[in-house]
Amino acid sequence: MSIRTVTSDLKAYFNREIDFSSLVFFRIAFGILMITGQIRFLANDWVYELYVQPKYFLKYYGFEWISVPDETGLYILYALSIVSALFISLGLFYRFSSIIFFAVFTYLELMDVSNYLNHYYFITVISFLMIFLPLNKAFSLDIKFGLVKEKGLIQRKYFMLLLICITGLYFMAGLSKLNWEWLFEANPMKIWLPQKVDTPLIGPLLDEPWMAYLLSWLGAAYDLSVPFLLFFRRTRKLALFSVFMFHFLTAVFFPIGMFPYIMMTFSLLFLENDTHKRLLGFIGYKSNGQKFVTQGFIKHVYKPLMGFVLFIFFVFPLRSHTYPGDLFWTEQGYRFSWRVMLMEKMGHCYFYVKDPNQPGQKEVLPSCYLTNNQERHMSRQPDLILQMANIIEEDYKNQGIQDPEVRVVSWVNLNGKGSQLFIDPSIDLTKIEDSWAHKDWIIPLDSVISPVDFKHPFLSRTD
Amino acid sequence: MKTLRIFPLIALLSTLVFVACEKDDEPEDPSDEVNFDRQSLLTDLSEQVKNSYINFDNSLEELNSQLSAFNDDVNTQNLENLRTAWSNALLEWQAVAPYQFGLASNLIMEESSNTFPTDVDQINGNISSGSYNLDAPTNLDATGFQAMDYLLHGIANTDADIVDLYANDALASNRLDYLNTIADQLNEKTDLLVADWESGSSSVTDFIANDGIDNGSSLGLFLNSWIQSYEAITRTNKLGTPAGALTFSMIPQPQTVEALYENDNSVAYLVQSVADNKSIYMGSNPEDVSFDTYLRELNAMHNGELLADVIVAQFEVAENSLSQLQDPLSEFVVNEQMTALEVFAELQDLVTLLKTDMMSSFAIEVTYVDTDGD
Repeated sequence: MSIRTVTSDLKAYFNREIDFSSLVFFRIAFGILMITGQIRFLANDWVYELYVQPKYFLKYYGFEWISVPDETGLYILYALSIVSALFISLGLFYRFSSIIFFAVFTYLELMDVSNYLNHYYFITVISFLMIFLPLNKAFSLDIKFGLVKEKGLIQRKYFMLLLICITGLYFMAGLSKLNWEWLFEANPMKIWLPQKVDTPLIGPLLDEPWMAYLLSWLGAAYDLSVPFLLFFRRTRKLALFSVFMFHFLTAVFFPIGMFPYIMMTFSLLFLENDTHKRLLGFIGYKSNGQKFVTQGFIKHVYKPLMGFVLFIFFVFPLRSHTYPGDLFWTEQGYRFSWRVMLMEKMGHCYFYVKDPNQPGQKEVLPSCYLTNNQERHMSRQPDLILQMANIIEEDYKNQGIQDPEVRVVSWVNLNGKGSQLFIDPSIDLTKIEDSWAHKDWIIPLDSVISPVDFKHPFLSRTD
Repeated sequence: MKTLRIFPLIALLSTLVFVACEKDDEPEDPSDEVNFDRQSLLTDLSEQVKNSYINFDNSLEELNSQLSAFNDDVNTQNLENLRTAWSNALLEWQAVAPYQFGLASNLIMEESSNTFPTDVDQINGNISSGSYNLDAPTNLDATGFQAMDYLLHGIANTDADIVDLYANDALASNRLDYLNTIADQLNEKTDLLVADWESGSSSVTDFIANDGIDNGSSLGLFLNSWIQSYEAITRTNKLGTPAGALTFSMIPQPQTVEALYENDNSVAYLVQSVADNKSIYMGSNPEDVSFDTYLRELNAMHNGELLADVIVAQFEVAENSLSQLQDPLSEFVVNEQMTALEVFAELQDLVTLLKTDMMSSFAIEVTYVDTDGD
């Protein structure tokens, strides 16, 4: 079996026509999941808690221009995301609806970094792909209303884009678990599991040290292997079983919201084309057997889309390796890299504002500016600490101090090792611009400075 | 293909193990197992809160009886007795000050009982007008212990003159009424809180039953309230602000000390407060389940040492450094500002150990919002 035959087999596999049912299945499931997720968000009153209540918002690098609308505007955006998700499910004004959904969902996610979740980012990526995929060409209202012509078959490669996304999410999440802390210290499982001993049935086992190791190793093995096991018919049943088991357990143990349900549903995409067809048959789906003629547009975007998917899932996450220092500590290249549940990290910090014309430093607590949720994220992520310093700088400029200096004394505890100094307290953060460059004002993880050995800045004065 | 099958098989087997395993009857080696029982921690905490409120309530009773003696016969001896009772009650207050959640939070107990510095103009305005509502937000700094401090120590220079203001002054009866109204407010709220924390009351039952680690759990509420109180009141208000640690100018603010008009006991209230915070951490009895025993069971570490040992040691360092302070604190922060700031630093280090290390070990969730499980 030469490489050439493998490639040509693969090519043939990708180009083979499949029934549209797999894409329709995905379209309907995606819409329902998104409607559920957004309604759940509203029902929990998170719009108010996360976007109305805060006085300040922590911005994404490069997206500082995104502003948070007022309460009415926010509810309109959420309503838009729900209606467009519904239209996606129904296949009504599909292209337009998918653009609206992608734009609105992404905008909402970009409003505050504190609310970054990998699975939101995943949805953003998927919904971007959906704009280009012709998911409304079967079993849709668009056909019923004569807006598009019905098709029956489509080349598998378009559907494969979605499967590669799911594979990438799992595989990269698994890859990021292959580190010393996860495998050989069983952190953070060792910290989290004993808190769950009151779980029915399995609870009493959770404070066993071997349990933390078992679940860490199983978790890594699961993430690395499950997309491939789902892919092959022979292993699929057991893989599906483990998907439902694994995500059920994580849903019980951790407050991770919709993520387990999204992954359980998406794992069903790996079912055979025929199975999707049969499943959809229950709600009246009939394939019309007509070929899907690959028209210019979709044909031209296939390669760029594949490149995009491969880049987002397999290349962009690797950027963290170009930074020195411990990734979990500095979090340089941590976001948008499919790293989930990897660490227990907690911090708190005091900011000190100095008027250059006066001897003292005024202590400023972040809680004057941020909500608990925002402060929790800010206090352990260097770029957000920098943003906090800038917010304070602006505030004191408005209060009439011409050139305030802002420093921070911040303490972070990573994986229960103990709090240690996080950011160089001598650095005036107002002089620093955020960038992709290495943040050399983060104190390295291995130079452990405990609070009990620390000389506080207010103990020295400059006259 | 065979190797590929192994993983789902493991998943299946481990699931079966989960499901099949009932709680083991055989005792296991206790050393490597975390013997977690948040309910007994919460039970012991609720006892401690209850006892603190009872002690505080008793001290208020003594304050009341001295106040009625003063009402009956305004003289310097009764004034002196009343001051002593007031000071003892303020010492007992330090133990309940950290419990500002649940009913205490609804009653805005902390703010109405012990806001300092007190607003002398507001107090005198209220006394001359004779009509005021001490529960109004504008009167939070014109009531409670610190308003009493002014009324018992600060309204005139000599005891004879103070007594005169309660006996013969044009506003004498208004002034005495004001003192009584403050005491009534303290009593009413405290009675509610004592009942609220009584063993077996529905709120105590709820407190013990709500034994999770989520944002609204009893442990979360308790820890947030306690650590917030330690940081903002004990560390900042009682010492940091007077020492000028929080200002651009770094000029000491002697007029911001607790019990400014009594003026020879501010350090005592601070020392008491730190001691009470320590006993919240340690438990009031050695056999109690406390945060200390809890951290030890978790085997929580702080940079290579046992976290519980580090916290206990830092409490001792803080207590020792407090002995450098001298009353009147209002003069000490001016004359020996650097010493005051050094003590302040020791108090602050405790905040970090409690807030970052202890909270992290308990994995208390700060919000209800979804996480990546990060």
